[in-house]
Amino acid sequence: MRNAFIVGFVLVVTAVNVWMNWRLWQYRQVAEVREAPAQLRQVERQHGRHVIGQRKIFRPSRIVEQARPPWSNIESDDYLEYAKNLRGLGCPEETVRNILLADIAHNFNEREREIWTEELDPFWVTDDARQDLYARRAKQAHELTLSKLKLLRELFQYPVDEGGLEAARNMGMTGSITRLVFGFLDREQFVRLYGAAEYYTKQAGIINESTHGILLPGDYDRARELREQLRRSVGVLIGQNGFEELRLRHGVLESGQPIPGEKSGFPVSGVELREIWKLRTEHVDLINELFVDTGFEDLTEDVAALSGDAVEVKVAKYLGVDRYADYARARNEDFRDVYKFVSEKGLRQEDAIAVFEERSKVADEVAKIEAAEDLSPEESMLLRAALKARAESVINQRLGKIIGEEYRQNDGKGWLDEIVDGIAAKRARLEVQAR
Amino acid sequence: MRLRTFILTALVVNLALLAGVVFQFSLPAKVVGKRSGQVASATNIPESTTNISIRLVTVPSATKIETFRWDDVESDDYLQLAENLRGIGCPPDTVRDIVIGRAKDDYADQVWELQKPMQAALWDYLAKGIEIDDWPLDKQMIERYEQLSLQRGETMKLLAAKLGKRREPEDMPEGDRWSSLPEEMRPAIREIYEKYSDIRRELVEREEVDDDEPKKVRDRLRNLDSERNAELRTLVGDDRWDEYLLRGSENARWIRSLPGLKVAEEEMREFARRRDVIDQQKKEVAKDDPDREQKLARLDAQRAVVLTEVLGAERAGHVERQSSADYLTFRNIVRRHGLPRDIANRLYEVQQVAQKNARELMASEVPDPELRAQAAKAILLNTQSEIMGIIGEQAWPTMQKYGMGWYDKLFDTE
Repeated sequence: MRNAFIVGFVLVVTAVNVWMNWRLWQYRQVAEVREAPAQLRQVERQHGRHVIGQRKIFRPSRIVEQARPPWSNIESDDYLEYAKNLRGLGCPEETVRNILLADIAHNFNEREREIWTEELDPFWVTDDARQDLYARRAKQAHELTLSKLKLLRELFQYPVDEGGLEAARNMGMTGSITRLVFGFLDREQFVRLYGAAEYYTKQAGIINESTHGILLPGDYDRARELREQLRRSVGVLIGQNGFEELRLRHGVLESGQPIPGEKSGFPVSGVELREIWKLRTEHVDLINELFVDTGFEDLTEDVAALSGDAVEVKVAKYLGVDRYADYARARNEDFRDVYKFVSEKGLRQEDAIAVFEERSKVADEVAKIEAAEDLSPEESMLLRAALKARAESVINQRLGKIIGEEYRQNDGKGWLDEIVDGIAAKRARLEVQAR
Repeated sequence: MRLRTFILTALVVNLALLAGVVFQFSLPAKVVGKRSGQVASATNIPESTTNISIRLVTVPSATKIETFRWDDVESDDYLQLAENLRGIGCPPDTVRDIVIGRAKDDYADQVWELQKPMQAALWDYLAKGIEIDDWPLDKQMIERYEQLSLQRGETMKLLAAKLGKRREPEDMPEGDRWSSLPEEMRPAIREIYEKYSDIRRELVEREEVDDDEPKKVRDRLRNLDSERNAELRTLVGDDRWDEYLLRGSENARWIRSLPGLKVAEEEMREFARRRDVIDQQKKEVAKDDPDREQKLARLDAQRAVVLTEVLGAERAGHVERQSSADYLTFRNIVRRHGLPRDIANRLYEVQQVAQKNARELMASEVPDPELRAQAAKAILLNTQSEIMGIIGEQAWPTMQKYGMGWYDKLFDTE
């Protein structure tokens, strides 16, 4: 028993010793592989799956004195290694992104600055020579930006850049509409969505910039390619349903068009309104619009366009004739004004409709008077005065004398005066006076 | 006996293994994830070894193993986080990137979460037709948003003060005016600019704060450029100063900005000098001089002929090209297709002739509309054929798309 204990103890001590030697030996082997000359690693990378222009991705000669161990052991001249080390430490992914995006942006800004300022601009040269110099520099700067974007994609496996990250942070902080449009996403999705849009539209912008706006068919092909890449990225990020929701919200909140609703004489439920906007926006290609904004107007041709009338027909079919009339009126700013006034006074919707319809009729008739060449200025003025009197009479009938007077003096004053004081009317009056 | 032999053998083996451990520790340290041990030697900090997952930090001199995980530096307090990061040797720029990035994300996250309850009611609110600014939001939510915005501003200000700014390299001020200076003189020039820029900033701040001496401050501000220029002149000497002044002249900048015109350096200098002299004489004509108008007219006439005298009539005749948007488009098309630059000049000439012919035809008194239409058609066909001949088949579609707007309007009024 005693012997067995001694043998066991000796074997355990030996095993521990062997393990320590093995670990240390193994560790040194790994370290040596990682310590292989950078040159060798560059060659390996170029033959690997990712060819990322190694020369351009190394960090600049940073001030190494500023970093001390153990941090200096985490940092690396190679961003891929740097990212790997940070992730290996358990550094949160957002922090890895904050560190690398800022560092890379600084690095590339510094390099771009070098491109533009390495030599001071020569002074006594012709404009042509100067333009050639700037074009050469701009080309280098664009190549640099593209290599940066490629590097970022490789580092994070999704499209992002520092501009997108910063814009997403600020927009999320300050833009209430932005928060409503994108708020169904979680913030990380929003950041990535914004980053992706920046990532691809920036590249389209570079194409446009480097061609001085003279775009050839090949440029459009490249822009289409980028557009489809963005479409895929967004699809992966938020899915088909998310994309549809985004299109609806963008359409209703950022189109700048009036939204018809209860306050404009069109009682509608949230579900119905959503359905209407679905019909109104299903032909809209948000991704394409982003690219058109970068100067590729012709890209719109790719998207099956649906005329405004066809959209209205769809909405009318959905709502039925009577409700569609209410809906159409509720989108008209003139009606919204009258309706607001009328409902504040506790009057009926029919009264607002009557005043609005009278206003529309008067506008049509004024246009006819202005177009009629056989009318003398005196006749034109008489007809206009008659129209104004008729409109005022309708207002009085519908709103009553007191409220009608209030309307004529305030909300309705502009369009009523316009009947007899419009530019054409003034010209007619001057002609009469001159005679 | 057997046990003794076993123990002795085991002792020898263990001693050998222990020697192996000591030997491996005594080898020079390797730094993983870096190409060299520059950092360690540069900072006189004992060389250390970190494996790739940063689980172990080995300091061979003390044969000590430390454990370091990211959680060790984390803190909810931004300044503490910064302090912790500094403690592990993180450089100031990276500390700033991490901490400021974290703070921005934290505030954005909180504001993002605030609007989440509104999401469910979004379409119902819209259906009520209420303007977004008038949505019945919870008072607490609005207060919280305002509070967060305010806090964010204060936090950012505090962090900027505590963490400082990233050092950005300064460009050479008025670089092209100093580009002929020898490299070694430039730092001194930059220093003078920086010095006066600091003085200006300080004076402006003082002017804002101290109401008692605004006049004194304003006088100093007014004289600041003269003081700086005097210092610059002393540094570079008279010849270089004259060159600097000449390069600052509007006339110099104008002559070198003419597109598509070959002008030699000496011609540019001569033009700028001569025009500067005339411009100076114009300034010196007294406002109460009874002959002021005639004098100015005479000087303007002299001024107008300088260009022709320096460049000759032919080149001077091309100067108006610079103000033509069409000419700039021709240049861009030519450049895009890699064609010789002179092609843009030829296109411009064809355009000028076509426009002149069109104007003449429209002003002419040809009574027969049929004849006028035929003449117009001839001008159009001839112009198009000339342009196609100049630009070539390959670039013609681009020319049609971008460079023929003027062509379509040649007979707009017909």
